[in-house]
Amino acid sequence: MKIPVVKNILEANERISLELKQLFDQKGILVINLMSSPGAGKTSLLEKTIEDLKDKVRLAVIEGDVQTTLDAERIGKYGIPTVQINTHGACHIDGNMVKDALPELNLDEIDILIVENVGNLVCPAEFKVGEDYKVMILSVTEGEDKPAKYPLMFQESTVLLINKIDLIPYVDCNVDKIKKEALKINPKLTVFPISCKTNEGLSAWTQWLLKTWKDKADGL
Amino acid sequence: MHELAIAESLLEIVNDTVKRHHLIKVNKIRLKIGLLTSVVPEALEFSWQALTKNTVCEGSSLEMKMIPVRGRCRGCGKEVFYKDADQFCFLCPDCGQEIEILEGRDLSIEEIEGEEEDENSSS
Repeated sequence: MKIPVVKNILEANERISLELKQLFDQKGILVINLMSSPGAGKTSLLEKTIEDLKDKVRLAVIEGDVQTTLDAERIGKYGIPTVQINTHGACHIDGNMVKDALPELNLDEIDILIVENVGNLVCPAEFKVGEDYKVMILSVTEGEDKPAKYPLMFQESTVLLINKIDLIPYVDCNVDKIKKEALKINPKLTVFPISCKTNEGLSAWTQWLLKTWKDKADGL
Repeated sequence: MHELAIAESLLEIVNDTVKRHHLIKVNKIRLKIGLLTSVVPEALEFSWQALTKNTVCEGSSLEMKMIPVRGRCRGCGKEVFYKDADQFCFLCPDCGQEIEILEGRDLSIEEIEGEEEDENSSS
């Protein structure tokens, strides 16, 4: 017998993500799902963002890693609430993992929650974690062909941070070319070229984050 | 390898259907996979076979229909089709404005084909 079952395969995760989103909205928390390949600078970006914003807003971080607590230790030094998720082999964070991490956070005392996803340009793009926006980092050493090779992540992201621009003189790659290729895949992307080493461009990013949080808080 | 997580979600939906319709065997599952998802059909198939060993789904096949991407220009309304991921460029070839994606983000189950428990022999 043939049984018609018209359903999104990931509906279970979509449902959990929606519940999380509603909870975060209720609490007035802006949630960012931060994604990139391994080594593009997610944790460095977090460190810089915390340094800049810690006196202006109440930040919290969920750190996703396949193994180890190294990143959570780096972030924990800044004295902001940090929860480590070890995915034990899974290549992405899903809604359930974030839900399980919530009891360790006091949601009444958070303005912006950043979920640092597992380093991977493919899988995290497919799983929502209750976020308002997906933000991705691409470092200049990865090359300008990445938007074409990993279109889904570029499609799903609202912001693209092009990191390590201090290395431009040493690589066969330029920011304009990366930007052009990324905008072909997602013409709506907001692009910030940055360097976590020299701090260049970082204030544009933190201002975006602050304004986006204020806009959300005002709209609620 | 997020195909394993996708296969796990799929198995949950199939198991639910198996229970509700009292199926004793699942033969085929029809899926729609959009070209914009990053699913590798071979990896999904492999994950499915591995997950369903010793279950009513063992040996069932996944029939994956790949859905090309269809979009429409927000400026001039031109419809654009993409049959291959290499062609992705969501700027209108005519007027340069943004192409809104209408189809191709699918990751859905459509139909399950299986064998029902014989009412007379049910225990």
